[in-house]
Amino acid sequence: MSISVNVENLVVRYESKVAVNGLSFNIKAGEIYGLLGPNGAGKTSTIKAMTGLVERSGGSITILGETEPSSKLMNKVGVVLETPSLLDVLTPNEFLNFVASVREMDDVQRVKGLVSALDLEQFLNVPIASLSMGNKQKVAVVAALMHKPLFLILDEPFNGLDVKSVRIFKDLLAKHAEEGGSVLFSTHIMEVAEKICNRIGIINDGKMVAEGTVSELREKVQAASLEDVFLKAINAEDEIKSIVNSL
Amino acid sequence: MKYSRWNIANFIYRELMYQSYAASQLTGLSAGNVKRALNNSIRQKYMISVIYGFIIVIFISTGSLLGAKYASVLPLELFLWSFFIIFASSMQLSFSVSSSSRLKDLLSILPIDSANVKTISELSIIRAVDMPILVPLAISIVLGAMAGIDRLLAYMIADVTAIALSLLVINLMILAFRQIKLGSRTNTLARLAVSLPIIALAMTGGLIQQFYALTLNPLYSYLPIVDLPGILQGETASIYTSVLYMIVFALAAYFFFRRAAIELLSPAQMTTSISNRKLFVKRSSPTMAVISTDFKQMIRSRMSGLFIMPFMYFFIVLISALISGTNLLKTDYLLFWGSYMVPLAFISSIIGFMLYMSEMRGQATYRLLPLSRNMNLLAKELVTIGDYLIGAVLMSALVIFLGGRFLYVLPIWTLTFTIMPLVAFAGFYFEYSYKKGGAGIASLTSIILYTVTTGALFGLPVVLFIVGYLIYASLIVGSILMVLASLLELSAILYFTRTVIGGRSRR
Repeated sequence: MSISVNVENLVVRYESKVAVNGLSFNIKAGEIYGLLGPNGAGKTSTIKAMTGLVERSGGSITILGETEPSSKLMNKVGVVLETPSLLDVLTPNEFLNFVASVREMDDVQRVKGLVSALDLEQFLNVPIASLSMGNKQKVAVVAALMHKPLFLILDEPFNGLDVKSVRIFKDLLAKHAEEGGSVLFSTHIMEVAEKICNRIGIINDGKMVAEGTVSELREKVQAASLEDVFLKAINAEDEIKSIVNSL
Repeated sequence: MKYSRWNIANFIYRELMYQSYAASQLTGLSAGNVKRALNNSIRQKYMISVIYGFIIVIFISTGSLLGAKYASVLPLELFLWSFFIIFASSMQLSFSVSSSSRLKDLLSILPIDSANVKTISELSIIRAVDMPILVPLAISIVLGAMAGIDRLLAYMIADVTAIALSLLVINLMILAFRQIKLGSRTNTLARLAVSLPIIALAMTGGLIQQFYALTLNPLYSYLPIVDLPGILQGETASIYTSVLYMIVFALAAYFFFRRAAIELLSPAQMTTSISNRKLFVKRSSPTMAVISTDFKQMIRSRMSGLFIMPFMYFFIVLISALISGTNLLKTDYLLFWGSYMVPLAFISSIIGFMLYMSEMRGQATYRLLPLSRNMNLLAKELVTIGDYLIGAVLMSALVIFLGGRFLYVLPIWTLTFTIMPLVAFAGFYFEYSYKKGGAGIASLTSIILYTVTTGALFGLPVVLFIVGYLIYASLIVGSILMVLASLLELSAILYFTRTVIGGRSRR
């Protein structure tokens, strides 16, 4: 499989704080790559650096052959951020029209299909500001998937989504990977990562501490689940035991 | 450990300040920068109080020097400024409080009895507006005491009336906004309805002397607010009625303040009207899509207060011309242009800045799309200039209507060019802020730097116009100088942006 995304020695600094410290990984075509880590590990900073939302302090990022987040590249990429990034004063109808126009999309049937699949039709003409968290997330998902991107960057994409929508979204991701697309998937939910990710990268303090397929990782540290692997990788097992005993 | 009402009120107050600051579009700070946003919000409260306090001192001091004739309108002037300072600093608070239900959720899980909950909420609101109340009050006492007992009495009545009336209006707003569905069109219209009188009020401060003739009418001794000059004009009726109105307003303000404080801790009525509609996909060109979206942002968000400025200026000039009974243009065209058109152009330019800041607050909407930096700038320029041009058309018509020469229209239209570098500079600042982690206007230093630079960028072409006009007695020469200077500034900013931010196709 060819490499779609290559991150090499990535460094992200916020003034004196180092959020990402020499992180390297790659994502192959047709692969769903899970980026896991505790709060503040550097997942969101990595994603922001990949999308050009923050300036990287060092290293390189190559996405679909491009080294900078140009307009051309952003038309091949779909992004769902942890907090939906929408324009509150618009209605979902207006917002999706705006995104479709900027992306110069011709396949409007796909947009309609996604809206219908995620049960968004009844909320199409109310201001985004008044939508629930879950419905805002659905609008962000439609906006990210509408143009059939080659690479999807998803930061906690299931936040607030109902069970049916999560299932549809997961199946769409699987289909996307089958068709040769790539996904970078960041989450705190180990069960989801275990089920849908082909490979996992666990980061802590901005560095990669473990990487491989779920079975490889389990085998390496003799753990029963991805959760155990994760806790061992970030050296949290003993700490948890001591905290629980002290309470 | 027993809780202290003051301590809890302090937490609620800080939350209120943070929410009101985050709800404003004057910052690019994201929700993640809580500490900075909180500090800025509190600092902003002090800054507004000090700046307006200084303005009040200047107006009252200089007004006092103009003699007894004009001194009688000073209580009215003091009333307007005091009202505005409390209103301006509380307006954001009313927006945030009206959309807040988390405070209720927070207190409901704590073991606090309802009487204390009420006291805590009252204390927290009072703390949010303490400085804007105290500063004008202190000024009126000091300046009044220095000028004699009659002035002290007049200033005190004016100031207490202003405090009572502004708190009354603010608390009514809190109550009203909670009844209106959040984010709805009605809510937007309500915001517009709120913005209009505030802006009108702010502008009448400059015209106060023109109301002098009107205030001599004995009938006004019986009407609220306009009865204030009568106190220093020796109208006994004015003294009685102004005290009476002051008491009535204070009682009403207290009543609604207590109601609003309770409402503050109750969940807002957030309902979403649903209707089964099909997605209507109407694709336009990317540039048109950005322009259309920016336009919608402008008229539907809190920026709508800026959007209506051209209309406000038009009416102010019209009213001013009618009241003064003189032809403003014949008095001095430069004064008319400088008093009305220049401020309008500068205020319009803020739209561009706020559009960029709302993008920053939205974190990434635009930046995750295949939009070029130039396309984005073009959209912001067109929307901002479009708003000024509404004013230009109205004012041009007024100039002709008032008997002005056709050439008088030229500087009104060429002033459009002065807006361009300001929007481009906002774009540069936006790009630069993103590059450095998306902090936006985050510190006092950056606010000062931004304001000074913007002032210089706008001031230079305007000054060149005035110089050209005065030296050559030609509106054409002045206009050409102004346009050339603006275009030069624009080119420099674009070059600077390309050099500092980088010349990639997207950024």
